[in-house]
Amino acid sequence: MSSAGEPIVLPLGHEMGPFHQHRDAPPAYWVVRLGWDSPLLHDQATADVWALAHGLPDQVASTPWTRSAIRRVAQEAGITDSDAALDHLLERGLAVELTPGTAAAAEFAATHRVQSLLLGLGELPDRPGADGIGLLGMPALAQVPARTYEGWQWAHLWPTIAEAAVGLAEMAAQAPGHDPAEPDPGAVLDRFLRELHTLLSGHAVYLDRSLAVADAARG
Amino acid sequence: MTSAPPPLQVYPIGQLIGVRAVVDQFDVRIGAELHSLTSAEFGVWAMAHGPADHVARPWTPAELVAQAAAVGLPEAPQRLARLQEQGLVALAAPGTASAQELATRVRMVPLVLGLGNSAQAPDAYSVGLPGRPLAVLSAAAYDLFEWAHMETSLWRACEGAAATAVRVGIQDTTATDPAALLGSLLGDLHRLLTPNAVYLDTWAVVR
Repeated sequence: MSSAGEPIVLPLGHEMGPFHQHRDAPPAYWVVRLGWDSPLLHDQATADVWALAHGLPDQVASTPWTRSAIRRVAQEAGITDSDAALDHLLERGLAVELTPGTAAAAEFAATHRVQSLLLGLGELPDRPGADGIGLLGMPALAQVPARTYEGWQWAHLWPTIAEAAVGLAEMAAQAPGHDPAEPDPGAVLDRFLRELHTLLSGHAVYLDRSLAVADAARG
Repeated sequence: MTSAPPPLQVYPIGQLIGVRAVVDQFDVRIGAELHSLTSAEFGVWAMAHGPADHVARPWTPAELVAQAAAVGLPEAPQRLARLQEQGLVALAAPGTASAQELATRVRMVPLVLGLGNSAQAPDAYSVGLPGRPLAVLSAAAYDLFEWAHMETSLWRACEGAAATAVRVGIQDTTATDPAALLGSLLGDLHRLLTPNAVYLDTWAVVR
């Protein structure tokens, strides 16, 4: 179990897989697209820890996805020094550690966006109350409550996660019989960040720099 | 002798974001708009993604209608026309002005991950989910899979990719000419649309 105050870890970027330079050669590096950059991960352990930072689908609903959680699953996978790999990813902007509700989380949300992947499959017949996200003809890759599903459906249309939280709060306020706590954008943002690994772990979303930040970094 | 002009093909637009089969409702999002389709309408929209038998061929309205008839889906021509009116389907002939018109008003957006190349075939790039490749692409097409959605339109993405090819000294005009790049992509796009590796959207996120 992680300590209550430990920040969550969020991976950044769209996975682009290994690159083999020659036939029969091992991967020269692994590629992630982030904004207008495609940073390279030069060793398997770093690529594995970046992948593990997305969370494991059967654990993320009950476990905050923190450095400790990543260390535990990394050790189970035979990666002995996930902390060093994670530090490397943090330094390169390929992951962030943050605590929802803090100024740092708000800053992150104002400078990053979420991009949805996959298809919305609606309420799962064998699991009432949960909506499925995946591809047709295979089991859902993410199974999430309606409010998370709504975030998956619409949040990517806004320039930043912060603006998406405002928009989602407005949508919630217009819904019949809404929860009075829902229309607070700060609360929506906190919940969205805390629940993000339920989407990240199923490849239902990825996180990216906002296009304004990406364009500015492009020079 | 002149060759026949390239035929118009069917391209679906939008992302399936909700299914409520018990009330016969399939929700497709285009930009910020939601279109609720019946199962019959959804069936035709789904068929616009490409041939069910995965045999590559120009995916024309006639091919789609024949496939609909084969599975007993009635009134496919009328349903296809209605989907076109609603902006859920577009017709374009790769290599012609209609293709460029389509490309200026849509973006190509990935629905899955890039899986990279392999030690067995370094020239072939896969897209899909971990352990589940859905389509194999050339390096040029993989490049568009990775970057095209960052631009405000598919046409701008092709222009950007062509400019990059020129800058790095590539001589092949199929890589340095945006119209040729677009023609090649659209001519083969159903291979990516059928397994839902990408979709076309009209939305451009505000910068």
